[in-house]
Amino acid sequence: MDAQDTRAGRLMRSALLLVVLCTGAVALPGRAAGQAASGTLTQGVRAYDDLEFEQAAGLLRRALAVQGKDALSPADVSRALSYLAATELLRDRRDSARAIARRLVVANPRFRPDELVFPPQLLLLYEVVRRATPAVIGEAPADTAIRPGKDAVAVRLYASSVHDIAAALVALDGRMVRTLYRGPIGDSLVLRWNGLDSAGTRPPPSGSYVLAVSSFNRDGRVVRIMRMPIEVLPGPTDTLAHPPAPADTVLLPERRPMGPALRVLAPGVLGGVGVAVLPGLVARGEQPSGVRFVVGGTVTLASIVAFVSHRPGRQIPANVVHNRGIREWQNAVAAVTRRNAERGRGLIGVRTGTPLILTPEGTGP
Amino acid sequence: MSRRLLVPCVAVASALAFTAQLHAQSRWTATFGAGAGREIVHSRFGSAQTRLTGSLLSGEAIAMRGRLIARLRYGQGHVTSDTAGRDVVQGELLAGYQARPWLQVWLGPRARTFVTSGLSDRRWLFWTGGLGARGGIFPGRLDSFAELWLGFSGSLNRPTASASGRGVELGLETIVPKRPLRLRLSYLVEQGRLDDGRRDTVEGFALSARYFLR
Repeated sequence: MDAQDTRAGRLMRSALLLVVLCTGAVALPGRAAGQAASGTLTQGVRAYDDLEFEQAAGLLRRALAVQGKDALSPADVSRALSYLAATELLRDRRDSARAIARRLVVANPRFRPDELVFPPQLLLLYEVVRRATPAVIGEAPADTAIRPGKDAVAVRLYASSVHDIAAALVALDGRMVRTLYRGPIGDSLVLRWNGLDSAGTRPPPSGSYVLAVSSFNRDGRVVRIMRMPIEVLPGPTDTLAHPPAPADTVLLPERRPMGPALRVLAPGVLGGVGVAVLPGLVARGEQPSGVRFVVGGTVTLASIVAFVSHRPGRQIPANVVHNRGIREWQNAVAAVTRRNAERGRGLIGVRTGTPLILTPEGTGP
Repeated sequence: MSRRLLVPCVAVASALAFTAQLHAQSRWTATFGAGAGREIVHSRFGSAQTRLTGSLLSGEAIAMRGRLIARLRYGQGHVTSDTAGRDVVQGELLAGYQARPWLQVWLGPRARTFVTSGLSDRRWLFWTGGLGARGGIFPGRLDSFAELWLGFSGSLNRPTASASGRGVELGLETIVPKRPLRLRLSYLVEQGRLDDGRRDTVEGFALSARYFLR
């Protein structure tokens, strides 16, 4: 029996070990790949510095090939491409170096290789390619609000080289909403959209739009299009938070009401009147005793005391304080609402997304 | 029993039977009371008139179930003048209905008998309907009340004749805190009258205590 238990225990441990190893085998390469992208870039740069260009080219290409969340950052992509272009140039593969440099320009039109790091040949090559590769990239506040016609959203465009561009706000169905600019661009240009449509009278309906900036070559053909998603939103209407409500928001009577006091007065008054009048009606022909007024007077007096004790019309201090707190809260809410309405009047929200540079087919470089 | 008496009797019995069925599930409550009072009796016949005063002791029992009420009152005393004296015995047996928390409707016979030494008794008997109302002055502590009744059938036994009668009672009732006890101060005036002008009018001031049983 013990031998069987021991054998079963061994089997169980072996199976557990196998599962752990399999899990590790599946999980580790993914993690290693994630770490490898930037690590491979570092190795590639080190190989380039050691003049191991074959190895550097392989490592840099491998680093650039990583996709997904473990991919290189945009800055590292530019760095990897610049080293790869230099590597290819130093390997005397000029066409490949030119193609990589073009890719670098399109990926980041603002990029300039470090003159202290790269050889003059690469700087010259990159300069030639940059001048021959018209492209722009844009930067804009991610989320803002403007008053159409009074304020403007500024989108700063950065160009790879001097060339002509056409910038327009278009709807997702391709309909032109507003032409923003048509003309040359040097190093950079600030586009301003005042929030109005092409008629210049009102803002476009809330929805998704695209800021499309077309780059033209010397022949006037569109060679690159930068598309920046733009979302037009209704104006923010509640920009200030309302003050917190008190625990109880029901107003209480500030003065003692008249009703309960009258309700206790009425029986006494009626009783007094009854004592005075009813005996005469009931006992016709007799003169009722005056002593009845003792009872009637007692009833009336008691009800007058009760009426006075209710203190109708007198302030209730606790309720006054309670109501003052509620009124202050109500005034604060009204003030915030008013200020929010003033802030939100005529405003539209503008939200921008990450720009994307497209190269229409057959229009390269 | 005369026909005039038969109708009220049937009405009271029917009301009791009907309402008893309605409130068969309710619990009974009972109240017992005792009191003492001062009475002034004015007797008139033509130009002759007598004024007698005296004291009266009274007791009462009230049973209530749901909105139904039954009340029995009995009082006995002696009134005198400078020249004459009479014993007074009075009583009532009423069935009532609590129409509202502050309003009661009463039906039933009321009788008052004057007993004079050497003469036969003089008894007033009325079949009455009445209304009782109550209002809180210091609610839960002090109430005022009023009760007005009218005899829709009545008789006097000596001389035998049909009579009319009416009465009113008003006063204050205080609830003793934390005790099932109420104290009453009341004033009442009642009159029985014949067509020939003979009438007895009774005024009374009474203090009484009521004890509640549940």
